[in-house]
Amino acid sequence: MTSMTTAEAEDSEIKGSLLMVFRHAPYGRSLAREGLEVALAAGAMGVELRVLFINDGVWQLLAGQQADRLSLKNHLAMASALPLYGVDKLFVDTASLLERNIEPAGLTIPVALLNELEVRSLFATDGHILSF
Amino acid sequence: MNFSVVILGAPYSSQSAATAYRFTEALLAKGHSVYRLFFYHDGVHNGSELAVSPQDETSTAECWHQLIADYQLDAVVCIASALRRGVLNSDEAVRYDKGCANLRSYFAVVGLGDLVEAAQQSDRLITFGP
Amino acid sequence: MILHTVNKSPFASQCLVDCLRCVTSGDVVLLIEDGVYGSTCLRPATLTPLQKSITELATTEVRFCILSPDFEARGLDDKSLLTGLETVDYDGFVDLAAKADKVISWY
Repeated sequence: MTSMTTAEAEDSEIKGSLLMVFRHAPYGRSLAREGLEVALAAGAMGVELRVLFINDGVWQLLAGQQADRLSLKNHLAMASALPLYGVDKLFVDTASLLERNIEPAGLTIPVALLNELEVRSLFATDGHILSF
Repeated sequence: MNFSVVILGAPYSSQSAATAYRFTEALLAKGHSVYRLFFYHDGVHNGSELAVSPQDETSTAECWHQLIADYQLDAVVCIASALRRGVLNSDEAVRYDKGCANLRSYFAVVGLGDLVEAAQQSDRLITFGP
Repeated sequence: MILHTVNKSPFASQCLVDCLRCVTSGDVVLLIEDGVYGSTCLRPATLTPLQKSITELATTEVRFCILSPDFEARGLDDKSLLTGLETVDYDGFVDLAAKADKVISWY
């Protein structure tokens, strides 16, 4: 391993982590599914990853999905695998839940609820952002 | 500064791929570099050899191909997205017993790890949504 | 500073509203593609609530830019630009992305 200057070390740290922002509902389009696949891949690679469910992305977490009615894979089941891939920093925008009348207590995946201020600080955290 | 660009839109269907192309062209002209062009979701269609545009229209796929060749850019399509949408290189065409392959020259087929790695290696990561 | 790109018309999509809920002081919002429809107002006397908040943000803590080729291609006119909005070309877009710590796209 080559030696790095302090600046390079800091820089690679910034590059090393990643925030994924999930903004789309599942099933209607493949964006939610393909975004989730990136998160699972990043988790498998041991990347420092944070995932934020916001806007229509919170629909991905709704319990009771019967994807077999569409002959599709269950999105919630796939999302539930995130912690198994080492992705356990999962966040939800509380306002998006409330807007959609989704009861936070009904969520089946362990997620941290964030208020508007906390969402903004998450965006400001180190690392690139990938939105799906 | 090195950029990685994530292209999620198919050519022609939305403006997205054309915007991504013009952004990439501009960043190269300004002396920045491209670490990787990652074609994902419907963006994999940009790698198809088989699209044909009328002669009096600009073809985004054609523009990409030229830019990638000129600058020898690392241009990759995600294998999972590409297979599902019928964009195959010759290896995959043989593997899945398809009559032909259609991935253009200069494009490579890769896994999602290459997107994650691009995020780690690039100074800037920019996505062009469909 | 975060660069936010928005590529959908606010008349058709929540993208711009969703974006504005997450912008922080010092950020830049760049309207591209159909997103440029969010920059115009033909009757300044009757601003929608969204147009009002854009104008307020643009004159205080957030920089709003419009990608000029997209704006001009759609037949929009500088005269109908909301107050405080600037136009940039692709060079300007690249500069904004380079200057930003990171980029998020709202689509």
